[in-house]
Amino acid sequence: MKTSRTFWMVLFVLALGGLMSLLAFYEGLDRTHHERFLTHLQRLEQLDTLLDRDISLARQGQLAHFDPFHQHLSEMSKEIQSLLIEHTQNRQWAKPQLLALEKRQHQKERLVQYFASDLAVLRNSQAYLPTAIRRLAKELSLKPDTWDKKDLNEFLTTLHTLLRAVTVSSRPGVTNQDHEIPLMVQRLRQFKPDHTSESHLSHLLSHVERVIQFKIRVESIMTQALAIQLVDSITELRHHEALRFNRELKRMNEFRRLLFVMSLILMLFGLITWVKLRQKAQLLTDKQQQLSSSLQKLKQETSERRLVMDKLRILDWAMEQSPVSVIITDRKGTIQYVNTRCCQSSGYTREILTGQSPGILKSGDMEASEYAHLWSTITSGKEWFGEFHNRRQDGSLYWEAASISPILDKKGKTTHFVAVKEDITQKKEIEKEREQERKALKQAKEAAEAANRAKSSFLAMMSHEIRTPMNAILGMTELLQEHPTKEERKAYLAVQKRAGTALLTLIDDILELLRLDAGIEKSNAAPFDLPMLCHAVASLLDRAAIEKGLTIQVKIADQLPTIWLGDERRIRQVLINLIGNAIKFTNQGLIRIETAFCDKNSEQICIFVTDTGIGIPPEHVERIFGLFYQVDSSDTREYGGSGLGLTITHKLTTLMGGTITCKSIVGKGTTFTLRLPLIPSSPKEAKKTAKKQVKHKIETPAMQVLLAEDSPDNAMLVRSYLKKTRIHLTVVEDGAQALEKVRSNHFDIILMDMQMPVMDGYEATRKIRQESQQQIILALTAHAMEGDREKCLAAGCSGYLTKPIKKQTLIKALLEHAPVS
Amino acid sequence: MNMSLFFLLLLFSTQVMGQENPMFADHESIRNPLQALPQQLQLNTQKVKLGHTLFHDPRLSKDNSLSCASCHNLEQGGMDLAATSTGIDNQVGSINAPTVLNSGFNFKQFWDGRAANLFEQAAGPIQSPKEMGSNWTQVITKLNQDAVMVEAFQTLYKDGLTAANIQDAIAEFERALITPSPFDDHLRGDDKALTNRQKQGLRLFLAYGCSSCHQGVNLGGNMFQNMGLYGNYFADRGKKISKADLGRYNVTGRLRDRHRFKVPGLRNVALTPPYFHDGSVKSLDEAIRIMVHYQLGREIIKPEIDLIIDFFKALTGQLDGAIQ
Repeated sequence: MKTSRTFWMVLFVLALGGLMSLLAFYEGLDRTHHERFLTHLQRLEQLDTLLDRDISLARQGQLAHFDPFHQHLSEMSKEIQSLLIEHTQNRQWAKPQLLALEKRQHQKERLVQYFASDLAVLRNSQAYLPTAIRRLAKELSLKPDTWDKKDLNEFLTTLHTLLRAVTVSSRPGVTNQDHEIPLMVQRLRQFKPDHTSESHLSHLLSHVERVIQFKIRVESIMTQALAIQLVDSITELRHHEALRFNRELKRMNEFRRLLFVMSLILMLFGLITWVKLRQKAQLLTDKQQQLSSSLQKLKQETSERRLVMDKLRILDWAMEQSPVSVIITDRKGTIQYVNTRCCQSSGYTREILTGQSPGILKSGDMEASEYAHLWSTITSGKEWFGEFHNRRQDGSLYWEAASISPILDKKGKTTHFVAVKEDITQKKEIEKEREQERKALKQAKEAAEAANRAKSSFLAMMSHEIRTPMNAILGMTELLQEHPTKEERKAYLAVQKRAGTALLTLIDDILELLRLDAGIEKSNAAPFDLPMLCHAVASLLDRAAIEKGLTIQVKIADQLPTIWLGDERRIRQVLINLIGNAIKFTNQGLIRIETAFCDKNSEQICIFVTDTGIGIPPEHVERIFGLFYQVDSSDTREYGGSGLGLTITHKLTTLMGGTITCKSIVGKGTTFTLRLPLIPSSPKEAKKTAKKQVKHKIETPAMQVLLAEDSPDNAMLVRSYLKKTRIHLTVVEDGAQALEKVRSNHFDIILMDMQMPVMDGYEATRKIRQESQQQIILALTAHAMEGDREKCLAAGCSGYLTKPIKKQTLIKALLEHAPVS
Repeated sequence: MNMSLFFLLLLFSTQVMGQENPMFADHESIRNPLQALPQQLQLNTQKVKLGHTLFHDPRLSKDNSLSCASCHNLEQGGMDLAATSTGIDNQVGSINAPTVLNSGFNFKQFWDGRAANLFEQAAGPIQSPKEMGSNWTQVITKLNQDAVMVEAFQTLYKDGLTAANIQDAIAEFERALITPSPFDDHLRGDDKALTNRQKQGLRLFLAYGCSSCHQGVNLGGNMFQNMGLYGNYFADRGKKISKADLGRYNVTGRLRDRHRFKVPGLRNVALTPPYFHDGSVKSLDEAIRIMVHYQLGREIIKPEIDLIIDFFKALTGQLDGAIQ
């Protein structure tokens, strides 16, 4: 294909070049020139012929003037000049011939000129001869006597002969009589007429002589002139020209043939090119149409694009100014664009981020599945919302809320992904705080609700729990007032005592619970003898157990240290509660107290209290440590109790840093496991502490104590507690009295009830405090609720005691605040 | 292209004219030795105009003192009425100035016919040291300074101002100098064109054989003739034979051409004394007498001479006003 194209190209160029050179070098067939040459020759020939004709005519007297000679001759000269000037350029061969022709023409011209001159003379003389003869005859006739008749006759005869001879001989072509004429002239000259006649004769004869002379000359010149025939030369020229023209014709034919061939090639080329061009033109037209439509579209698009560009510029600006991070990636997730905010929030520069995977931001503490989910969402063409925990370049972490969506083209194919992310680290923190707050709030609310519920149930319970023994006491009191028998009274009092004890237990429990709740109680660690404690509790409750036909077993693990550092009182309380409960819910069998290390390496002590009682259904096990909880209300009737025991137990355990758990099988029994973080101690320390306690008990100093109490029962109770000490007690009934007493007397300690008529304890305390800063005032109040203590201390109390007060508590408090003597 | 086309046309027309010219077209006219002037001339009027200017232009002479018209006064029968003309620096010429009028019909120019035509003739006096004494370089340099002249040449001639074109323009102008006369009217059949005496003079002119040589359109100018066919004119004249007296011999060097001169045309002959190549004869009747004696070999009486002179007056023509 290529070679053939090259071949064609070479051929084309050669053809074109050949054609061009042919056109450039070939002058073409000079037909006009040729014809003009021939015309000139023809005209020359014609003129020559005309000249010859006119010469003949002139000679014969047919042509009166000689202008035509010169017309012909000058025209011939012109023709020859034309031929020489115009046609010798490409007919070099013609030049010498033409020059020869010109020379002959000049010869002929010269001869013609002579011919004309001589002919003129000849004609003149010929024309004059008759006149001359007439005049001579007239002269002779005038003088007839002067001539001899014979002479005259001869003279006239001779003259006549002469004239006839001259006339004949002067005719063209006649020569036969010429030789006689001079003889006759001579004879005539011999005559001697008169002078006038002689003159006439002389003239005549001279003219005759001229006629004879010029006739010969004219004839000779004419012959010469006519002998010069240009026709021969012209014919020769014509022949040469014909040869030349034929050669040229031949050449032209060859040229034509060549031209034809080259034209054919060119035409072929043209045709091929035309066809190709047409195809191309068609293509081009199509393309042009496409282009024009595309151009139209383009224009439209350009204007649209300009709008879009403006929009884009604005959007870009907006994006750059955006407070949210924007990342645009390609289909494979390679970052192609990030806005300024993104760089700011991530700490990476745009240059680093571009071309990277967004994975560069991963902190690593997010699940891989989450990313997988993200990819599956966005690759399926959906938008993904979520949060990222990302890492900045400096390593710090931050949270981002992100929306990632794919950008789809018209075919619905994903081209890019756009992630719009908001730094929510602060928000998150705030949310966390809020969450915590909310939780706290909820807890508080729940607590409040629980407290409220507790209060309600507490009140309901109180009502029941208090009313029951109260009812018994008041009932018995009523019976006692109706003069019962001694046995009856004894029974009544027993009931009363039992009811009173129950009531007090209840109140103690409540107070204990309240104290625990208020966080007033503190665990006081001191060395104690654990086995002894267990045995003491067992023996304490042994009677109650025996009453129900139960046995209490105490089992202390071997190698267990005896002396431990802990809060003996609370442990005791817990054990009493647990064992009391066990006795309460066990109808037969035994109750076992077991003490052991919880496990080999642990220092925790486990105390197991196991019974063979009714058990607790599993669903209740978790709730038994709740307030006032009993398995069911019927049980309460059967087993009694405030429902506070286990709650208090639990709380006490917790207070000591321990735990209490319960395992129970309904109908078989229950095991409570008490785990306590106790520290083993040496027996010496335990004894020291015990001695110290004993010493406190004994040495009560003498001091003045004022009791402000509006309730005489309570006053009597306190008075009875202090009966055996060296404390002197003064009792007043209200705050005002107390104030009065304090002003007049010295009291080491004032016990101030807070709820009193006239002036309450708070008021009185503030007044006393105003007067003496040193005065010790201990609040004595039934307000055992949370906040009461603070209220009392705020009023200026030095200490705080709750009612009902126990003897030891009171004495201990008094001892603590006793002035150093 | 245009030029060649024009040329072809011209050629064609010439050919046609040639073809239209039958052998015996004007039978009567060729029988008559005397011919009328053509009524129309085919001339380039622009060239005629330019030639007119050049003819009167003294720049053609060496010292800008003489123009062609100085010796060939168109008002004066086309010559200067002097036996021989005066050239630059008052140089005296050697021969009588022939008239320029109707000179286009002369078969040769100059007395000795050394110029084939007016074109060749025009170069003669300009370069003759005794006449205008100039040369072509000089003339062209002078004319080149004349913008109008240069432009005129450039419009008419492809090659502009050249010696040949100056000659051509002057020749064209001189061809236009024809003087139709009453005799021409007579020849065309106007019987009243000539007086009776003139008619008698014409008859005598023909009878004496004057028309043997003074024939054709120009009543002469179509042949050479020896001065003194019947008698030795130069011997009788008594004056020393000058070079100019040798006539055509000066051109050809042939003995036969000794004292041979172009026969002068007789149109306006009454206006152009003195006569003959040497300007030796001042009066027309003397000239006629000498001519009859030496050339025709006869004698003529005075009354006949007067009649012929009357006829000659009928040959006095008028130049076209436009040419003047």
